[in-house]
Amino acid sequence: MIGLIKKELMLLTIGGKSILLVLVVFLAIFLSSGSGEILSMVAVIMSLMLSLTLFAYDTQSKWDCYATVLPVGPKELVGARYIVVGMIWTASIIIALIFRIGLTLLPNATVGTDFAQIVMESLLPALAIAVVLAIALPLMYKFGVEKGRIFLFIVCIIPSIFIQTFLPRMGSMPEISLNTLMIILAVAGVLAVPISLWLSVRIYGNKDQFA
Amino acid sequence: MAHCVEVDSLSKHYRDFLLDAVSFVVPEGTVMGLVGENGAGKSTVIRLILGAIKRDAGKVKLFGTEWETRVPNAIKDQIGVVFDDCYFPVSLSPNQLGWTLSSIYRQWDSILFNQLLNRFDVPPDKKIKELSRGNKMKLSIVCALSHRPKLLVLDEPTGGLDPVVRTEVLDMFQTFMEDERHSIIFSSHITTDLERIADYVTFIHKGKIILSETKDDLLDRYGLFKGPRDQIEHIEKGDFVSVRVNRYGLEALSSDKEHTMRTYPQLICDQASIDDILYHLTSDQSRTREDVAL
Repeated sequence: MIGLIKKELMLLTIGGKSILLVLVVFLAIFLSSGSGEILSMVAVIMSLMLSLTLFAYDTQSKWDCYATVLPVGPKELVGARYIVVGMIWTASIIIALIFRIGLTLLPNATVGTDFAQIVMESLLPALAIAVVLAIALPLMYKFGVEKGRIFLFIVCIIPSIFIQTFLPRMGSMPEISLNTLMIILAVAGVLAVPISLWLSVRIYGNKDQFA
Repeated sequence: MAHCVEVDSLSKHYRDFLLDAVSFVVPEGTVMGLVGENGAGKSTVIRLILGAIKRDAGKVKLFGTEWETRVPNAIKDQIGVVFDDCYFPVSLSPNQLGWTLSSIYRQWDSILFNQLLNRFDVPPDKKIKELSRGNKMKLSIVCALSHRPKLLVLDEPTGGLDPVVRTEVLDMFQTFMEDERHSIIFSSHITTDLERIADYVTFIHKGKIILSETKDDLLDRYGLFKGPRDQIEHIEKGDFVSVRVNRYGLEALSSDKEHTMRTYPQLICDQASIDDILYHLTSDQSRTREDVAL
């Protein structure tokens, strides 16, 4: 599995350069304005993009065909991908936290200096993206990166349509505090990731990579 | 002699193709050439042997071990595979690829990997996507050899290579076969390559094996008979595998050269190449073919 993780990390360092450039541009904007509430959101969305890029690399080179003859099974192949995605996700939280804390030290800072608030604002989008990733990865294994992105878009847009269209008709919207939302997302993430991993291994193991 | 690969009644059904009960063995220390036209099922056989796709029926034994759904990793460790295309991450360099594979194969030999890259003039730091087709194929072969496998499985490894590189590659396979415990399964359209290195030849046609025997027996047994067009009136078509008539004369393949030479002394007997045998075996059996005038 270490070899597979090495491969993913090397591809990330090559493909991640453009993503890093985008992050630097955003950072420059936030530094000049002194505000950066959505920096956490930008960082975790980039972690999602980077994770999906790994699938694009494999599709481009037909790596999965070659992987069928390597002395590793679907558990290792999929497991390595989940570990690297987890590393990207964790890195995005750390980067967001560092920059958010850094922003509070600026003389023109407009962001709050409450540390607990900063942590919560950084973790909330990260937990939401963790759930999205847990849905996205099996979709990528099942449908490939092109079709998988479309399915992911559909899966993500359905709850938004439901909330915007049907919930207001059902009466007043329940008030949910940030703390409660974070607990809900954390529980959803903890439950979704192992199920996602199990599903991905099954999908990958049953797939004809040469089809 | 122990068998490195044993394939028994192997079947795979696709919507438009059936690999039908394929059986053959590859004795240890030999090179088995798989021959057949495009779409005959050569690559399917190779993928089924390697467990890269699931079989519908049949058995496969590798190094005496039968496996059901997945080839054990310990066995995969002893197999080097070269596909007809380069399936490596194109953004990596050969060195980065070697670094990756060194943690995947237990017996990976980094020194050998570097020596082979050097011997084949494969640039170690250039991105794979920037390598020529020949260099990509050489890299595939280098990777297949660098974990010191006992069995090489090669799916069209010389396709698209120029004659110089092809000769280099074949030389390397011959060097690999100097160890008598090593074996090769080699599928190719370029039958002259097989004539050079194969010990056994297996013909696959429309998903079925139509012949599997030693190359020497095959070339000894089969003969290509030629004569003027009017000889078609004097031959018994059942004596030949197939008969072809064109404006220059008659050409017929016999699977019993000695007997046919005695029966038809008026015909000239030439040595049949694997190409000739493949052509005649895969044309409609025992049917006279007339060339179309163009």
